[in-house]
Amino acid sequence: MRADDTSEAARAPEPAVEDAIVGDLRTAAYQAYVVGLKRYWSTELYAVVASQAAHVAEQPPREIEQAMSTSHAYRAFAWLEVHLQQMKYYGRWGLVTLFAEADDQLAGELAEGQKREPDKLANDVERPLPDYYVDTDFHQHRGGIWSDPSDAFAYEAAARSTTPVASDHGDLHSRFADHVRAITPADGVVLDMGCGFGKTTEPIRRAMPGATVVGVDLSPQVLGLAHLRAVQQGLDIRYVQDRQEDLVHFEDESVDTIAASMLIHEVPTDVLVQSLREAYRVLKPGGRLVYLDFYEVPGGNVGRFLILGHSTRNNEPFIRSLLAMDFHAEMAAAGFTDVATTSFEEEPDALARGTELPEFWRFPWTLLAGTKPATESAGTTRTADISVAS
Amino acid sequence: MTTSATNLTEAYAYDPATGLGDPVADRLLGVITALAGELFTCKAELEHLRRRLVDADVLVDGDDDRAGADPELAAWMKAEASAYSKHLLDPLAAQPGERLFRFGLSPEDARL
Repeated sequence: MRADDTSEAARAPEPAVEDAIVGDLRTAAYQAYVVGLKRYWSTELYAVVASQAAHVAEQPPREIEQAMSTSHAYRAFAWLEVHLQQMKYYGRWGLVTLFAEADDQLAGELAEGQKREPDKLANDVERPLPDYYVDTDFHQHRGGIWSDPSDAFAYEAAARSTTPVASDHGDLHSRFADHVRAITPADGVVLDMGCGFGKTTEPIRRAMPGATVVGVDLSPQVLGLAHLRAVQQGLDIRYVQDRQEDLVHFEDESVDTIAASMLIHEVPTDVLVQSLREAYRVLKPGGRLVYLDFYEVPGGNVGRFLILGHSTRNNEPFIRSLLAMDFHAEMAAAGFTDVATTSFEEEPDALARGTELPEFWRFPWTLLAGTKPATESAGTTRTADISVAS
Repeated sequence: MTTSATNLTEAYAYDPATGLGDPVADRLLGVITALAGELFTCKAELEHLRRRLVDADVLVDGDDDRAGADPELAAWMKAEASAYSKHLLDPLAAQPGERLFRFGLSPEDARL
């Protein structure tokens, strides 16, 4: 805990990975087995691969991959990277399997949740979802997280074991919420873009009791779950279905801070570029845009070799386009100033080795941020049918 | 049966999407990890039962020797074996080149 951190009370305890898995004994045991394998993959096997790749670290990622293609350890590493994710979701005791069996019950839970504080959930189910979103099974989750009510619950359960080596999985989101708090007026309006089931929205809400907090996502199923969680926890959060690149529900200059965690590596470059312009329109003069995502990759070419491989094997194709994007130039073109990309320490001492390759597999967490100049006004105007300040 | 050098090369070919270019090796490894998952699940279940039975003073010597003749247990084993076999052998049934999910990259693009 940092010395200046005043939000300790705002941190919600996050259960350990194995404790968080719901289900019967067999499901819990199988998921624990998968997490155990992933923990070994993230540490022991990763260390062997990293040490071997270090011998060709001067080569570009494609050449490193070519050299490593004869390594038995790397082949096993790559195979497990694909299949551990599939094992987590599918098979007899996979999370998608588990929740799909209860789809009707879960649909009922979401429906009941919508009846409670209905003014805080604005799903726009008639609006088509973007092609890139429906055409890609992100994280190898077939049908995405928008097809069925159970998909939202499976996504929520799966997210708890995304980083099994982290000492406190919830720390990442709480730390990002602390950052959002630090750059936003205490009574400001915060928009959490790509909020999912509220994993970052909730800590922002807790960290900023005087603010207006709005979560935005594409999936009505996930937003329904986020709303249900907020209602159950007594959190005053408004959830709105909208597109980051075309925010029809938000007026010009109505938001103090737009935050997004783990969002922009899931969108193609053209959509992201348009999203920057849309963020500029919605932000108040002096407003801040901050993403927590994957951009500054430690470990040089070997680090890039590993994260690019993850992009392929976890079916997250737009990690590649984000890493190739000139974020500073695109932000400047959209009108932002004070653009910065800085490595983000998701837990204590995560960046202790600076730009070197980490000792275990970790995402290259980065804050990507910019400011809308205080004297500038938006080039386009829009009146919205929903005002976040209402 | 002999194995030519060409076949060996093909067997060890590298696929950037899975690490294993040989579909048979890919599927056999799937079987092994599924089997290990079954084994771990079974170990957890046995441990759970053992703790409960010991707590209740139910577990006594000789129980295991008589259990094979239990018709209810036999019926359970028959049903469980079907689900067990399907889970274990599903990786073998996947079509060559089949992906279980909609993929965002073409095979060429998947190369770094």
